[in-house]
Amino acid sequence: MTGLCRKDSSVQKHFEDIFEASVDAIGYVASDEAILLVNRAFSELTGFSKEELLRMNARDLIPEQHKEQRDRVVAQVLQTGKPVEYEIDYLRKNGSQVPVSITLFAVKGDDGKPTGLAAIVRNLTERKRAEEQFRLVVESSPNGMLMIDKGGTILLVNRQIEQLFGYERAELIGQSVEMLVPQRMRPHHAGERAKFFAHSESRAMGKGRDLYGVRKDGQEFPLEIGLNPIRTPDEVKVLASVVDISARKRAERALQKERDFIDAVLETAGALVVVLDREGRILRFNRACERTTGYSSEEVMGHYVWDLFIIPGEVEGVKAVFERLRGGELRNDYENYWKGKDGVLKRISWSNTVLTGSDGTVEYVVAAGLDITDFKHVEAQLRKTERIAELGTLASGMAHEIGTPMNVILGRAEYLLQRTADEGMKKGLATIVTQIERITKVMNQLLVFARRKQPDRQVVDLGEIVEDSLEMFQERMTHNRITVEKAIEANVPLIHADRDQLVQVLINLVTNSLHAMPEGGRLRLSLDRENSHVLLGLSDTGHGMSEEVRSKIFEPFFTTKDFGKGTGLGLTVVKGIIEEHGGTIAVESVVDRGTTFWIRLPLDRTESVGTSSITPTPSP
Amino acid sequence: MTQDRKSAVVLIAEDDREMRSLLRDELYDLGVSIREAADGDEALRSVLDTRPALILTDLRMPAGGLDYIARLRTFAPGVPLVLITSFGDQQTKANALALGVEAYFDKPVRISELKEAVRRLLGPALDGEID
Repeated sequence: MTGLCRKDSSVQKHFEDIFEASVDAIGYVASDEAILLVNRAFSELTGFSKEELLRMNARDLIPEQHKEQRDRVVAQVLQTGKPVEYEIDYLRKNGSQVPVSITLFAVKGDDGKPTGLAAIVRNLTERKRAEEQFRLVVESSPNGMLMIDKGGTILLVNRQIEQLFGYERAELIGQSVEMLVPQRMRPHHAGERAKFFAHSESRAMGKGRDLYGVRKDGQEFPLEIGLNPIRTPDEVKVLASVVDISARKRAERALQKERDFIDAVLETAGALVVVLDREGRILRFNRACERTTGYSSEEVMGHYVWDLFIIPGEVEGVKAVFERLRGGELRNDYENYWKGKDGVLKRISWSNTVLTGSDGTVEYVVAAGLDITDFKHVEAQLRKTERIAELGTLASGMAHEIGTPMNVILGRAEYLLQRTADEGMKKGLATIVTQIERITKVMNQLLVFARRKQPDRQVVDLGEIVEDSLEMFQERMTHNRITVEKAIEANVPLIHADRDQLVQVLINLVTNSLHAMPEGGRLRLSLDRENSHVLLGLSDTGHGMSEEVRSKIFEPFFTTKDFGKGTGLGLTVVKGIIEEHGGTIAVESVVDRGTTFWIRLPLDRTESVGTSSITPTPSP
Repeated sequence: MTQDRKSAVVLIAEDDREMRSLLRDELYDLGVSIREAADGDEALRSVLDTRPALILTDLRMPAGGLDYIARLRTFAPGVPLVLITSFGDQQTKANALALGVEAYFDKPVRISELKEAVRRLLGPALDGEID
């Protein structure tokens, strides 16, 4: 400086102005550190006036605890002659401290020996405050925050990171970030990290992959990471924001479980469940729907329900019900037909309800239905049964009334028959006798049916009943050239049944078979155990029946025999008896091939009647 | 047949006039005397008046029924009973037979069968009178 002063006083003046105007504090001390020169900024920084400062030693500005360390720096500068930059706190006049950065260099005399020291002192308060603010922001973040450098070294972590990973801050700073990555993912992570530094941009880490962190105790947990590159002139750092998503994953799993549960309920329930959007398009179509209609879920998805299943006559009604639901009716019931893929109609009883959005508008209509087609059959069957019961009562009453008049006609015909020689007369009278006998036969059949009583059950051997019943037909079988095959299992359990009624069943069935085989044929009887039933099969090689006939054979008074040959009650009686025994009867038939009847009668489970069953002795 | 012979008496109890008339005509051939009754009470009175050799009776008629049959049995011990009833059921038949009825027929019955049974039951009485 002195050199410049001597050359030109105006330059000297400029220099002084610059010195004074500098934002950084500048001071010059003698080799004993007595302050020789300071600028205004120095005075402002320390709070001491220039006059005060010029009476002070530079060491007076250093807090006691830093003096020793600082003295070493000064000594180093004086010794080496190289400038040093260091950070320290300055004591201010008011006793407070101010963080400063000092660039210290030796001022040499003409002989090259240091004559004093110059210091450029920068106030670090703002920078420190900014740093502190950054630290506070990071610290108070609800997410875990972590800063690393290019080499993956952890520079900074916040409290959340400590909590998430279970490490103390001191255990993390300076370590490689890979210590927080599960072992198996470390090599991959290091590679990805290098790539990120090469082309850094703020983004989520992992791109759709599930990310995991590992805690100090070795436990892994799912996390989500946001990456933010922080660029300074010399380097790039990365600030990562880490969120533990265990809770979210748990919630997702719970939700999924709930969904799976609902799916399972919907799919296993016997009920038809169909979900429609507010326009009536199908959104959901469960397996029961698929089974009932023959359509797959994929086929119907997005179609209007009335376009697919509803028969023309019912479309308006269905739309009206749908409209009511959409208009705010919370639930209603409806019954209609659904037409399956094969055109078969099923009667469905629906319970409908709506799902509304948060604003109360109807979003979905949920319909749960039961296929009541079979119930309808049963209902019809029941009505028929009731009619038959009434018929029985009527028949019994009628029998008492017509028996005598019939007898008078019959008797008188016989009486006259014995007294006339006129052949024409005889023929006419004989006809009267036959016709009365025919009426008698019909009446008797009708009465058998009408007077059916509760079966009188005994332990019976069905095989024996079959044998006995066939015995009665022996002569007719031979005469009609019918061969009999029997496949009667030896160990078929005994059953509880009314022997007479079962004989009646066999007589009626065998009679029908004989009628079906006027040209001869084969009659096959089989008896076997089938689970909790005995299965009796009776098949002939007769003329069989059409499906139309087959569907009506159990109806009273239905007959295919010539007028007078059959009463149309034989199979009605058979079915009645079997059902009274808790059994079922089924029939298969092929025209010109033959007919098979299958009778299933339940084994008595409460009593030991079988050859092999054992009844436990009840304890007293 | 002699003029002074005493024919065996057959009591016909039947509320239907035509049926009664038919039975009368048919049994007449057997050479028996016929007494008729149109209800149960009349039949019982008739049994007390004339000891019949055989009783042919309906079951369902005024003052009839199984009680009436039981009373007949008491009033006329040892007299064969032939019961005819309209389309009787198994239970009626069993009950009648339990009361000791000798023959049971459902209406309509073939007269030849009925006559055959009557002839069989009357057997000795018929023969005795004829001889």
